[in-house]
Amino acid sequence: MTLAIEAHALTKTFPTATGDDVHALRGIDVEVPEGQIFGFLGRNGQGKSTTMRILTGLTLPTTGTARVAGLDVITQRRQVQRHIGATLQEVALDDLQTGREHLVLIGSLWGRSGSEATRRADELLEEFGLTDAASRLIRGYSGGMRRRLDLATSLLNEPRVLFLDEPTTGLDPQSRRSLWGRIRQLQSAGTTVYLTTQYLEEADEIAIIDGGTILACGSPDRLRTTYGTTRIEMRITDPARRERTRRELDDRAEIRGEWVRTEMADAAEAARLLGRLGGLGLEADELTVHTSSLEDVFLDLTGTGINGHAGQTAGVESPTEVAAA
Amino acid sequence: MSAWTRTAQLSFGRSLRQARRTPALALVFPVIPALAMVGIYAELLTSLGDLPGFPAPSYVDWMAAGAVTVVPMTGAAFSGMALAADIRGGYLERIRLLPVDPLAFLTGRVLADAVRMLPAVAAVLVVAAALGADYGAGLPGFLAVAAMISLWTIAYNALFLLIAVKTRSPEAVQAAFPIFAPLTFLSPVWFPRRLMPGWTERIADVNPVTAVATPIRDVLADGIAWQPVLTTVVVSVGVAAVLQAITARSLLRALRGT
Repeated sequence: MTLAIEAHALTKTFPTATGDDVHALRGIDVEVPEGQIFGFLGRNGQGKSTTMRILTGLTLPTTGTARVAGLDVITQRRQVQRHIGATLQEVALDDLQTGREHLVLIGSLWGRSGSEATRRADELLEEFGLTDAASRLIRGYSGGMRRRLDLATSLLNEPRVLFLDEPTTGLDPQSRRSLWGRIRQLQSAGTTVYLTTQYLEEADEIAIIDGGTILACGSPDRLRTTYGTTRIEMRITDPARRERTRRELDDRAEIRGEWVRTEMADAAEAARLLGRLGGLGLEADELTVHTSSLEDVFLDLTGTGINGHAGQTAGVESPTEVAAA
Repeated sequence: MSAWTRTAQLSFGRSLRQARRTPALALVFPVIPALAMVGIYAELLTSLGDLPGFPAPSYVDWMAAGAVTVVPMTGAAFSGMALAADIRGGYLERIRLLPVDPLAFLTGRVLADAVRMLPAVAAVLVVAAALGADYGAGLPGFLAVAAMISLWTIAYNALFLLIAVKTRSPEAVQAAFPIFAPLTFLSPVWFPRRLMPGWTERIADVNPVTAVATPIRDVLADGIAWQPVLTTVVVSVGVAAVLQAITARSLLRALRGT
Protein backbone atom coordinates (compact mmCIF):
# COMPACT_ATOMS: atom_id res chain seq x y z
CA MET A 1 0.00 0.00 0.00
CA THR A 2 1.47 3.32 -1.07
CA LEU A 3 0.69 6.27 1.12
CA ALA A 4 -0.41 9.48 -0.55
CA ILE A 5 -0.28 11.41 2.71
CA GLU A 6 1.82 10.57 5.67
CA ALA A 7 2.10 12.92 8.65
CA HIS A 8 3.76 12.19 11.95
CA ALA A 9 3.54 14.03 15.24
CA LEU A 10 2.59 17.35 13.66
CA THR A 11 2.37 20.22 16.09
CA LYS A 12 1.65 23.86 15.42
CA THR A 13 2.00 26.56 18.01
CA PHE A 14 1.07 30.17 17.35
CA PRO A 15 2.80 32.64 19.62
CA THR A 16 0.56 35.44 20.89
CA ALA A 17 1.30 38.90 22.19
CA THR A 18 0.11 37.96 25.68
CA GLY A 19 2.55 35.08 25.89
CA ASP A 20 -0.17 32.43 26.01
CA ASP A 21 0.81 30.35 23.01
CA VAL A 22 -2.02 28.82 21.07
CA HIS A 23 -1.43 25.13 20.49
CA ALA A 24 -3.43 24.55 17.33
CA LEU A 25 -2.08 21.03 16.80
CA ARG A 26 -0.78 18.78 19.52
CA GLY A 27 0.68 15.82 17.69
CA ILE A 28 -1.29 14.78 14.62
CA ASP A 29 -0.64 11.47 12.83
CA VAL A 30 -2.36 10.89 9.52
CA GLU A 31 -1.86 8.16 6.94
CA VAL A 32 -3.89 8.15 3.78
CA PRO A 33 -3.35 5.38 1.21
CA GLU A 34 -3.33 6.33 -2.46
CA GLY A 35 -6.77 6.50 -4.02
CA GLN A 36 -8.66 6.87 -0.77
CA ILE A 37 -11.23 9.48 0.18
CA PHE A 38 -10.15 10.61 3.62
CA GLY A 39 -12.37 12.83 5.74
CA PHE A 40 -11.22 15.06 8.54
CA LEU A 41 -14.00 15.88 10.96
CA GLY A 42 -13.85 18.41 13.72
CA ARG A 43 -15.51 21.49 15.07
CA ASN A 44 -14.33 24.89 13.88
CA GLY A 45 -11.03 25.98 15.35
CA GLN A 46 -9.86 22.50 16.34
CA GLY A 47 -7.03 22.18 13.84
CA LYS A 48 -8.58 20.93 10.58
CA SER A 49 -7.54 23.85 8.45
CA THR A 50 -4.13 24.16 10.09
CA THR A 51 -3.42 20.52 9.27
CA MET A 52 -4.46 21.11 5.69
CA ARG A 53 -2.34 24.23 5.41
CA ILE A 54 0.66 22.25 6.57
CA LEU A 55 0.01 19.39 4.18
CA THR A 56 -0.36 21.79 1.25
CA GLY A 57 2.85 23.63 2.14
CA LEU A 58 1.14 26.91 3.00
CA THR A 59 2.49 26.93 6.52
CA LEU A 60 5.23 25.12 8.39
CA PRO A 61 4.59 22.79 11.30
CA THR A 62 6.26 23.74 14.58
CA THR A 63 7.48 20.15 14.89
CA GLY A 64 6.76 16.89 13.11
CA THR A 65 7.10 15.64 9.55
CA ALA A 66 4.76 15.25 6.62
CA ARG A 67 5.06 13.69 3.19
CA VAL A 68 2.55 14.16 0.39
CA ALA A 69 2.81 12.23 -2.88
CA GLY A 70 6.03 10.79 -1.51
CA LEU A 71 7.66 14.20 -1.08
CA ASP A 72 8.56 16.15 2.04
CA VAL A 73 6.23 19.14 2.45
CA ILE A 74 8.90 21.11 4.27
CA THR A 75 12.01 20.58 2.17
CA GLN A 76 10.30 19.84 -1.16
CA ARG A 77 7.38 22.24 -0.95
CA ARG A 78 7.56 23.30 -4.60
CA GLN A 79 7.63 19.73 -5.91
CA VAL A 80 4.76 18.76 -3.58
CA GLN A 81 2.66 21.62 -4.91
CA ARG A 82 3.04 20.36 -8.49
CA HIS A 83 1.17 17.19 -7.51
CA ILE A 84 -1.59 18.64 -5.38
CA GLY A 85 -4.72 20.67 -5.88
CA ALA A 86 -6.54 22.44 -3.11
CA THR A 87 -9.63 24.44 -2.36
CA LEU A 88 -9.27 26.50 0.77
CA GLN A 89 -11.79 27.63 3.31
CA GLU A 90 -12.45 30.87 1.51
CA VAL A 91 -13.58 30.40 -2.06
CA ALA A 92 -10.62 32.27 -3.45
CA LEU A 93 -11.98 33.84 -6.61
CA ASP A 94 -11.65 37.24 -8.18
CA ASP A 95 -15.10 38.77 -8.57
CA LEU A 96 -13.98 41.01 -11.41
CA GLN A 97 -12.89 38.25 -13.79
CA THR A 98 -15.13 35.98 -15.80
CA GLY A 99 -15.10 32.28 -14.98
CA ARG A 100 -13.12 31.52 -18.12
CA GLU A 101 -10.60 34.34 -17.53
CA HIS A 102 -10.06 33.06 -14.01
CA LEU A 103 -9.32 29.50 -15.13
CA VAL A 104 -7.15 30.63 -18.04
CA LEU A 105 -5.14 32.90 -15.74
CA ILE A 106 -4.49 30.23 -13.12
CA GLY A 107 -3.82 27.64 -15.84
CA SER A 108 -1.29 30.01 -17.44
CA LEU A 109 0.35 30.53 -14.06
CA TRP A 110 0.72 26.74 -13.96
CA GLY A 111 2.88 27.20 -17.03
CA ARG A 112 0.45 26.32 -19.80
CA SER A 113 0.56 28.31 -23.01
CA GLY A 114 -2.37 30.61 -23.70
CA SER A 115 -4.16 28.24 -26.09
CA GLU A 116 -3.51 25.21 -23.91
CA ALA A 117 -4.79 27.04 -20.83
CA THR A 118 -7.93 28.08 -22.72
CA ARG A 119 -8.56 24.51 -23.91
CA ARG A 120 -8.21 23.10 -20.39
CA ALA A 121 -10.38 25.90 -18.95
CA ASP A 122 -13.16 25.13 -21.43
CA GLU A 123 -12.91 21.44 -20.62
CA LEU A 124 -13.34 22.11 -16.91
CA LEU A 125 -16.12 24.65 -17.44
CA GLU A 126 -17.98 22.01 -19.42
CA GLU A 127 -17.33 19.36 -16.81
CA PHE A 128 -18.63 21.54 -13.98
CA GLY A 129 -21.65 22.83 -15.86
CA LEU A 130 -20.33 26.37 -16.07
CA THR A 131 -20.07 26.76 -19.84
CA ASP A 132 -23.09 29.05 -20.02
CA ALA A 133 -21.70 31.27 -17.28
CA ALA A 134 -18.12 31.20 -18.56
CA SER A 135 -18.20 34.72 -19.97
CA ARG A 136 -19.97 36.27 -17.02
CA LEU A 137 -18.19 38.03 -14.18
CA ILE A 138 -17.73 35.80 -11.12
CA ARG A 139 -19.35 38.60 -9.10
CA GLY A 140 -22.72 37.35 -10.36
CA TYR A 141 -22.16 33.64 -9.57
CA SER A 142 -24.23 31.82 -6.95
CA GLY A 143 -22.58 30.13 -3.98
CA GLY A 144 -22.80 26.76 -5.67
CA MET A 145 -21.27 28.05 -8.89
CA ARG A 146 -18.41 29.58 -6.94
CA ARG A 147 -17.73 26.26 -5.20
CA ARG A 148 -17.72 24.45 -8.53
CA LEU A 149 -15.41 27.00 -10.14
CA ASP A 150 -13.10 26.80 -7.13
CA LEU A 151 -13.02 23.01 -7.42
CA ALA A 152 -12.38 23.26 -11.16
CA THR A 153 -9.48 25.61 -10.39
CA SER A 154 -7.94 23.04 -8.07
CA LEU A 155 -8.02 20.45 -10.87
CA LEU A 156 -6.19 22.57 -13.46
CA ASN A 157 -2.91 20.73 -12.90
CA GLU A 158 -4.51 17.26 -12.76
CA PRO A 159 -3.40 16.69 -9.17
CA ARG A 160 -2.63 13.31 -7.65
CA VAL A 161 -3.75 14.44 -4.23
CA LEU A 162 -6.68 16.79 -3.84
CA PHE A 163 -7.30 18.78 -0.65
CA LEU A 164 -10.77 20.19 -0.09
CA ASP A 165 -11.52 22.36 2.92
CA GLU A 166 -15.27 22.29 3.63
CA PRO A 167 -16.20 21.82 -0.03
CA THR A 168 -19.90 21.22 0.63
CA THR A 169 -20.51 24.18 2.92
CA GLY A 170 -23.35 26.29 1.60
CA LEU A 171 -24.37 23.84 -1.12
CA ASP A 172 -27.93 22.67 -1.60
CA PRO A 173 -28.50 18.90 -1.42
CA GLN A 174 -28.43 18.48 -5.22
CA SER A 175 -25.14 20.31 -5.60
CA ARG A 176 -23.71 18.40 -2.66
CA ARG A 177 -24.68 15.10 -4.24
CA SER A 178 -23.21 16.06 -7.59
CA LEU A 179 -20.02 17.22 -5.90
CA TRP A 180 -19.70 13.85 -4.19
CA GLY A 181 -20.28 12.22 -7.56
CA ARG A 182 -17.36 14.23 -8.95
CA ILE A 183 -15.18 13.32 -5.97
CA ARG A 184 -15.88 9.62 -6.50
CA GLN A 185 -15.09 9.96 -10.20
CA LEU A 186 -11.77 11.51 -9.32
CA GLN A 187 -11.14 8.69 -6.89
CA SER A 188 -11.83 6.07 -9.53
CA ALA A 189 -9.31 7.84 -11.76
CA GLY A 190 -6.75 7.32 -9.00
CA THR A 191 -6.84 10.66 -7.20
CA THR A 192 -6.49 10.69 -3.44
CA VAL A 193 -8.98 13.07 -1.83
CA TYR A 194 -8.44 14.61 1.58
CA LEU A 195 -11.31 16.72 2.79
CA THR A 196 -12.91 18.37 5.75
CA THR A 197 -16.65 18.59 5.75
CA GLN A 198 -19.71 17.97 7.85
CA TYR A 199 -21.07 15.29 5.52
CA LEU A 200 -18.68 12.44 6.01
CA GLU A 201 -20.66 9.24 5.64
CA GLU A 202 -19.23 8.95 2.14
CA ALA A 203 -15.54 9.05 2.99
CA ASP A 204 -13.54 5.80 3.06
CA GLU A 205 -11.81 6.76 6.23
CA ILE A 206 -12.39 9.47 8.79
CA ALA A 207 -10.32 11.10 11.48
CA ILE A 208 -12.05 13.06 14.22
CA ILE A 209 -9.97 15.94 15.51
CA ASP A 210 -10.57 17.98 18.65
CA GLY A 211 -8.36 20.34 20.57
CA GLY A 212 -5.51 19.73 18.16
CA THR A 213 -5.40 15.94 18.58
CA ILE A 214 -7.02 13.08 16.74
CA LEU A 215 -9.59 11.38 18.98
CA ALA A 216 -10.56 8.54 16.64
CA CYS A 217 -9.75 7.29 13.18
CA GLY A 218 -11.25 4.59 10.98
CA SER A 219 -13.90 3.78 8.40
CA PRO A 220 -17.34 5.28 9.10
CA ASP A 221 -18.70 1.80 9.94
CA ARG A 222 -15.85 1.04 12.26
CA LEU A 223 -16.20 4.36 14.04
CA ARG A 224 -19.90 3.79 14.47
CA THR A 225 -19.49 0.26 15.83
CA THR A 226 -16.52 1.17 18.03
CA TYR A 227 -17.79 4.41 19.49
CA GLY A 228 -21.50 4.28 18.77
CA THR A 229 -24.30 2.52 20.61
CA THR A 230 -27.70 1.09 19.79
CA ARG A 231 -30.41 2.82 21.73
CA ILE A 232 -33.73 1.17 22.45
CA GLU A 233 -36.76 3.16 23.52
CA MET A 234 -39.92 1.38 24.52
CA ARG A 235 -43.21 3.00 25.38
CA ILE A 236 -44.99 0.79 27.93
CA THR A 237 -48.34 2.14 29.15
CA ASP A 238 -48.96 -0.48 31.85
CA PRO A 239 -47.06 0.67 34.98
CA ALA A 240 -46.52 -2.85 36.34
CA ARG A 241 -45.11 -4.13 33.06
CA ARG A 242 -42.94 -1.02 32.79
CA GLU A 243 -41.53 -1.63 36.28
CA ARG A 244 -40.81 -5.31 35.48
CA THR A 245 -39.03 -4.29 32.29
CA ARG A 246 -36.93 -1.81 34.20
CA ARG A 247 -35.94 -4.48 36.73
CA GLU A 248 -35.11 -6.88 33.91
CA LEU A 249 -32.67 -4.28 32.56
CA ASP A 250 -31.04 -3.73 35.96
CA ASP A 251 -29.49 -0.32 36.26
CA ARG A 252 -29.10 0.10 32.53
CA ALA A 253 -32.56 1.51 32.05
CA GLU A 254 -33.90 4.97 32.43
CA ILE A 255 -37.57 5.82 32.75
CA ARG A 256 -39.22 8.98 31.57
CA GLY A 257 -42.98 9.05 31.70
CA GLU A 258 -44.16 6.01 29.85
CA TRP A 259 -40.82 5.50 28.08
CA VAL A 260 -38.14 3.01 29.10
CA ARG A 261 -34.83 3.70 27.50
CA THR A 262 -31.60 1.74 27.40
CA GLU A 263 -28.42 1.57 25.42
CA MET A 264 -26.69 -1.50 23.99
CA ALA A 265 -23.19 -1.80 22.58
CA ASP A 266 -24.41 -2.93 19.16
CA ALA A 267 -27.38 -4.09 17.13
CA ALA A 268 -26.85 -7.80 17.85
CA GLU A 269 -26.98 -7.22 21.57
CA ALA A 270 -30.07 -5.07 21.12
CA ALA A 271 -31.79 -7.84 19.14
CA ARG A 272 -30.95 -10.39 21.83
CA LEU A 273 -32.39 -8.13 24.51
CA LEU A 274 -35.63 -7.56 22.62
CA GLY A 275 -35.93 -11.34 22.10
CA ARG A 276 -35.46 -11.97 25.78
CA LEU A 277 -38.02 -9.34 26.83
CA GLY A 278 -40.48 -10.75 24.30
CA GLY A 279 -40.00 -14.23 25.77
CA LEU A 280 -40.90 -12.83 29.18
CA GLY A 281 -44.07 -11.27 27.80
CA LEU A 282 -42.66 -7.75 28.27
CA GLU A 283 -43.68 -6.30 24.95
CA ALA A 284 -43.67 -2.59 24.26
CA ASP A 285 -46.63 -0.61 22.99
CA GLU A 286 -44.26 1.41 20.86
CA LEU A 287 -40.63 0.73 20.03
CA THR A 288 -37.77 2.66 18.47
CA VAL A 289 -34.27 1.33 17.86
CA HIS A 290 -31.64 3.80 16.90
CA THR A 291 -28.05 3.03 15.99
CA SER A 292 -25.61 5.92 16.35
CA SER A 293 -24.98 7.88 13.21
CA LEU A 294 -21.54 9.24 12.55
CA GLU A 295 -22.84 12.57 13.77
CA ASP A 296 -23.84 10.99 17.10
CA VAL A 297 -20.35 9.50 17.42
CA PHE A 298 -18.85 12.86 16.60
CA LEU A 299 -21.00 14.65 19.16
CA ASP A 300 -20.28 12.02 21.81
CA LEU A 301 -16.56 12.31 21.24
CA THR A 302 -16.27 16.07 20.96
CA GLY A 303 -19.08 17.36 23.16
CA THR A 304 -22.33 18.95 22.12
CA GLY A 305 -21.93 22.57 23.13
CA ILE A 306 -21.43 25.12 20.41
CA ASN A 307 -18.38 26.41 22.23
CA GLY A 308 -18.43 23.25 24.29
CA HIS A 309 -15.59 21.31 25.71
CA ALA A 310 -15.08 17.66 25.00
CA GLY A 311 -16.19 15.33 27.72
CA GLN A 312 -19.92 15.07 27.35
CA THR A 313 -20.15 11.36 26.93
CA ALA A 314 -22.71 8.88 25.75
CA GLY A 315 -25.93 9.04 27.68
CA VAL A 316 -26.49 12.70 27.12
CA GLU A 317 -30.06 13.75 26.49
CA SER A 318 -30.89 14.42 22.91
CA PRO A 319 -33.75 16.67 21.89
CA THR A 320 -35.77 13.71 20.60
CA GLU A 321 -35.69 12.09 23.99
CA VAL A 322 -36.83 15.24 25.68
CA ALA A 323 -39.67 15.48 23.22
CA ALA A 324 -40.62 11.86 23.81
CA ALA A 325 -40.71 12.41 27.56
CA MET B 1 10.20 34.95 -21.54
CA SER B 2 11.07 33.75 -18.08
CA ALA B 3 8.42 32.31 -15.77
CA TRP B 4 8.88 35.29 -13.49
CA THR B 5 8.20 37.82 -16.24
CA ARG B 6 5.22 35.81 -17.47
CA THR B 7 3.73 35.77 -13.95
CA ALA B 8 4.16 39.53 -13.67
CA GLN B 9 2.64 40.00 -17.11
CA LEU B 10 -0.41 37.84 -16.29
CA SER B 11 -0.93 39.69 -13.02
CA PHE B 12 -0.55 43.01 -14.88
CA GLY B 13 -3.30 41.99 -17.29
CA ARG B 14 -5.57 40.87 -14.49
CA SER B 15 -5.10 44.12 -12.54
CA LEU B 16 -5.87 46.25 -15.58
CA ARG B 17 -9.02 44.18 -16.24
CA GLN B 18 -10.05 44.77 -12.61
CA ALA B 19 -9.53 48.51 -13.07
CA ARG B 20 -11.46 48.57 -16.35
CA ARG B 21 -14.38 46.81 -14.68
CA THR B 22 -14.54 49.21 -11.74
CA PRO B 23 -14.06 52.42 -13.72
CA ALA B 24 -15.66 54.68 -11.13
CA LEU B 25 -13.26 53.65 -8.36
CA ALA B 26 -10.18 52.91 -10.43
CA LEU B 27 -10.23 55.53 -13.16
CA VAL B 28 -12.72 58.32 -12.42
CA PHE B 29 -12.47 58.78 -8.65
CA PRO B 30 -8.69 59.41 -8.64
CA VAL B 31 -9.03 62.28 -11.05
CA ILE B 32 -11.84 64.14 -9.28
CA PRO B 33 -9.82 65.98 -6.59
CA ALA B 34 -7.26 67.11 -9.17
CA LEU B 35 -9.94 68.25 -11.63
CA ALA B 36 -11.81 70.04 -8.88
CA MET B 37 -8.69 71.95 -7.90
CA VAL B 38 -7.92 72.89 -11.49
CA GLY B 39 -11.52 73.60 -12.45
CA ILE B 40 -12.54 75.56 -9.36
CA TYR B 41 -9.51 77.05 -7.63
CA ALA B 42 -7.58 77.97 -10.71
CA GLU B 43 -10.56 80.17 -11.62
CA LEU B 44 -11.17 81.51 -8.10
CA LEU B 45 -7.54 82.30 -7.44
CA THR B 46 -6.65 83.39 -10.95
CA SER B 47 -5.42 86.78 -9.68
CA LEU B 48 -2.60 84.99 -7.83
CA GLY B 49 -0.92 84.65 -11.20
CA ASP B 50 -0.82 88.46 -11.48
CA LEU B 51 1.33 88.84 -8.36
CA PRO B 52 4.68 90.32 -9.24
CA GLY B 53 7.26 87.59 -9.56
CA PHE B 54 4.72 84.73 -9.72
CA PRO B 55 6.81 81.80 -10.96
CA ALA B 56 4.47 80.77 -13.79
CA PRO B 57 2.73 82.58 -16.66
CA SER B 58 -0.66 82.07 -14.97
CA TYR B 59 -2.11 80.35 -11.95
CA VAL B 60 -3.78 77.63 -14.04
CA ASP B 61 -0.34 76.68 -15.41
CA TRP B 62 0.89 76.30 -11.87
CA MET B 63 -2.21 74.33 -10.86
CA ALA B 64 -2.12 71.95 -13.82
CA ALA B 65 1.41 70.85 -13.08
CA GLY B 66 0.61 70.38 -9.41
CA ALA B 67 -2.60 68.48 -10.07
CA VAL B 68 -0.92 65.79 -12.18
CA THR B 69 1.36 65.00 -9.23
CA VAL B 70 -1.72 64.58 -7.05
CA VAL B 71 -3.47 62.11 -9.35
CA PRO B 72 -1.37 59.10 -8.25
CA MET B 73 -1.90 60.12 -4.64
CA THR B 74 -5.68 60.02 -4.95
CA GLY B 75 -5.54 56.84 -7.01
CA ALA B 76 -3.41 54.87 -4.57
CA ALA B 77 -6.28 53.81 -2.33
CA PHE B 78 -7.70 51.65 -5.10
CA SER B 79 -4.41 49.74 -5.44
CA GLY B 80 -4.26 49.07 -1.71
CA MET B 81 -7.91 48.10 -1.49
CA ALA B 82 -7.56 45.59 -4.31
CA LEU B 83 -4.51 44.01 -2.67
CA ALA B 84 -6.21 43.87 0.74
CA ALA B 85 -9.18 42.14 -0.88
CA ASP B 86 -6.83 39.61 -2.51
CA ILE B 87 -5.21 38.83 0.82
CA ARG B 88 -8.41 38.73 2.84
CA GLY B 89 -10.32 36.68 0.28
CA GLY B 90 -7.60 34.02 0.05
CA TYR B 91 -6.71 34.79 -3.57
CA LEU B 92 -3.04 35.19 -2.73
CA GLU B 93 -3.14 31.87 -0.84
CA ARG B 94 -4.26 30.29 -4.07
CA ILE B 95 -1.36 31.98 -5.86
CA ARG B 96 0.97 30.53 -3.23
CA LEU B 97 -0.20 27.04 -4.20
CA LEU B 98 1.09 27.65 -7.73
CA PRO B 99 4.68 27.35 -8.90
CA VAL B 100 5.05 31.13 -9.14
CA ASP B 101 6.80 33.84 -7.16
CA PRO B 102 4.19 35.89 -5.25
CA LEU B 103 6.47 38.90 -5.69
CA ALA B 104 6.20 38.58 -9.47
CA PHE B 105 2.45 38.67 -8.99
CA LEU B 106 2.76 41.77 -6.80
CA THR B 107 5.02 43.40 -9.38
CA GLY B 108 2.38 42.95 -12.07
CA ARG B 109 -0.14 44.76 -9.91
CA VAL B 110 2.26 47.60 -9.12
CA LEU B 111 3.04 48.17 -12.80
CA ALA B 112 -0.64 48.04 -13.77
CA ASP B 113 -1.38 50.73 -11.20
CA ALA B 114 1.32 52.93 -12.67
CA VAL B 115 -0.25 52.62 -16.12
CA ARG B 116 -3.77 53.13 -14.72
CA MET B 117 -2.88 56.67 -13.66
CA LEU B 118 -1.89 57.88 -17.12
CA PRO B 119 -5.38 58.43 -18.62
CA ALA B 120 -6.31 60.40 -15.49
CA VAL B 121 -3.20 62.54 -15.84
CA ALA B 122 -4.00 63.16 -19.51
CA ALA B 123 -7.53 64.20 -18.55
CA VAL B 124 -6.18 66.76 -16.06
CA LEU B 125 -3.78 68.21 -18.62
CA VAL B 126 -6.48 68.47 -21.27
CA VAL B 127 -8.96 70.19 -18.92
CA ALA B 128 -6.28 72.58 -17.70
CA ALA B 129 -5.34 73.38 -21.31
CA ALA B 130 -8.99 74.13 -22.02
CA LEU B 131 -8.88 76.57 -19.10
CA GLY B 132 -5.87 78.31 -20.56
CA ALA B 133 -2.84 76.35 -19.37
CA ASP B 134 0.06 76.45 -21.78
CA TYR B 135 2.72 73.75 -21.87
CA GLY B 136 6.17 74.32 -23.26
CA ALA B 137 6.85 70.60 -23.32
CA GLY B 138 6.95 68.80 -26.64
CA LEU B 139 6.27 65.11 -27.15
CA PRO B 140 9.54 64.05 -25.43
CA GLY B 141 8.60 66.27 -22.50
CA PHE B 142 5.17 64.70 -22.16
CA LEU B 143 6.68 61.22 -22.38
CA ALA B 144 9.14 62.17 -19.65
CA VAL B 145 6.24 63.44 -17.52
CA ALA B 146 4.39 60.15 -18.08
CA ALA B 147 7.47 58.22 -16.96
CA MET B 148 7.95 60.42 -13.90
CA ILE B 149 4.27 60.08 -12.95
CA SER B 150 4.54 56.30 -13.30
CA LEU B 151 7.56 56.14 -11.02
CA TRP B 152 5.88 58.45 -8.52
CA THR B 153 2.81 56.19 -8.59
CA ILE B 154 4.94 53.17 -7.76
CA ALA B 155 6.55 55.05 -4.88
CA TYR B 156 3.39 56.48 -3.36
CA ASN B 157 1.31 53.33 -3.89
CA ALA B 158 3.80 51.37 -1.82
CA LEU B 159 2.51 53.11 1.30
CA PHE B 160 -1.03 51.91 0.57
CA LEU B 161 0.10 48.42 -0.35
CA LEU B 162 1.94 48.27 2.95
CA ILE B 163 -1.19 49.27 4.86
CA ALA B 164 -3.08 46.60 2.89
CA VAL B 165 -0.58 43.90 3.81
CA LYS B 166 -0.40 44.94 7.45
CA THR B 167 -4.15 45.29 8.04
CA ARG B 168 -5.69 43.05 5.33
CA SER B 169 -8.48 45.58 5.46
CA PRO B 170 -9.75 47.54 2.44
CA GLU B 171 -11.41 49.91 4.93
CA ALA B 172 -8.11 50.73 6.61
CA VAL B 173 -6.57 51.46 3.22
CA GLN B 174 -9.43 53.75 2.35
CA ALA B 175 -9.09 55.55 5.67
CA ALA B 176 -5.53 56.52 4.73
CA PHE B 177 -6.72 58.24 1.55
CA PRO B 178 -6.91 61.82 2.97
CA ILE B 179 -3.21 62.02 3.81
CA PHE B 180 -2.69 63.31 0.27
CA ALA B 181 -4.14 66.65 1.45
CA PRO B 182 -1.56 67.62 4.11
CA LEU B 183 1.23 66.13 2.00
CA THR B 184 0.34 68.31 -0.99
CA PHE B 185 -0.55 71.49 0.91
CA LEU B 186 2.80 71.26 2.67
CA SER B 187 4.57 71.28 -0.69
CA PRO B 188 4.55 73.69 -3.62
CA VAL B 189 1.95 71.57 -5.44
CA TRP B 190 -0.83 74.16 -5.14
CA PHE B 191 0.98 77.36 -4.16
CA PRO B 192 4.47 78.63 -4.90
CA ARG B 193 6.86 78.38 -2.02
CA ARG B 194 7.12 82.14 -1.50
CA LEU B 195 3.39 82.28 -0.69
CA MET B 196 3.83 79.71 2.06
CA PRO B 197 4.41 80.76 5.71
CA GLY B 198 7.94 80.13 6.94
CA TRP B 199 7.37 76.91 8.85
CA THR B 200 5.43 75.27 6.02
CA GLU B 201 8.20 76.21 3.63
CA ARG B 202 10.68 74.34 5.80
CA ILE B 203 8.45 71.26 5.75
CA ALA B 204 8.09 71.63 1.99
CA ASP B 205 11.88 71.53 1.69
CA VAL B 206 12.01 67.98 3.04
CA ASN B 207 8.68 66.79 1.68
CA PRO B 208 9.31 64.18 -1.05
CA VAL B 209 6.23 65.49 -2.86
CA THR B 210 8.18 68.69 -3.50
CA ALA B 211 11.02 66.75 -5.08
CA VAL B 212 8.56 65.16 -7.49
CA ALA B 213 6.14 68.02 -8.17
CA THR B 214 8.74 70.66 -8.93
CA PRO B 215 10.62 68.73 -11.63
CA ILE B 216 7.35 67.63 -13.24
CA ARG B 217 6.32 71.29 -13.34
CA ASP B 218 9.65 72.31 -14.86
CA VAL B 219 9.44 69.69 -17.60
CA LEU B 220 5.82 70.57 -18.42
CA ALA B 221 6.75 74.25 -18.69
CA ASP B 222 10.07 74.07 -20.46
CA GLY B 223 10.38 70.62 -21.99
CA ILE B 224 12.75 67.86 -21.14
CA ALA B 225 15.85 68.63 -19.10
CA TRP B 226 18.03 66.09 -17.39
CA GLN B 227 18.35 67.70 -14.01
CA PRO B 228 14.63 67.78 -13.06
CA VAL B 229 13.97 64.37 -14.58
CA LEU B 230 16.82 62.87 -12.59
CA THR B 231 15.59 64.46 -9.37
CA THR B 232 12.18 62.86 -9.73
CA VAL B 233 13.69 59.55 -10.74
CA VAL B 234 16.07 59.47 -7.79
CA VAL B 235 13.44 60.48 -5.21
CA SER B 236 10.73 58.20 -6.60
CA VAL B 237 13.02 55.24 -7.00
CA GLY B 238 14.38 55.82 -3.51
CA VAL B 239 10.97 56.02 -1.86
CA ALA B 240 9.69 53.12 -3.98
CA ALA B 241 12.67 50.91 -3.24
CA VAL B 242 12.43 51.36 0.51
CA LEU B 243 8.65 51.13 0.85
CA GLN B 244 8.16 48.40 -1.74
CA ALA B 245 10.89 46.31 -0.15
CA ILE B 246 9.19 46.60 3.25
CA THR B 247 5.85 45.77 1.62
CA ALA B 248 7.28 42.73 -0.18
CA ARG B 249 8.88 41.44 2.99
CA SER B 250 5.67 41.94 4.99
CA LEU B 251 3.65 40.27 2.26
CA LEU B 252 5.85 37.18 2.21
CA ARG B 253 5.66 37.01 5.99
CA ALA B 254 1.92 37.44 6.04
CA LEU B 255 1.50 34.74 3.42
CA ARG B 256 3.71 32.34 5.30
CA GLY B 257 1.43 32.93 8.29
CA THR B 258 4.48 32.41 10.57
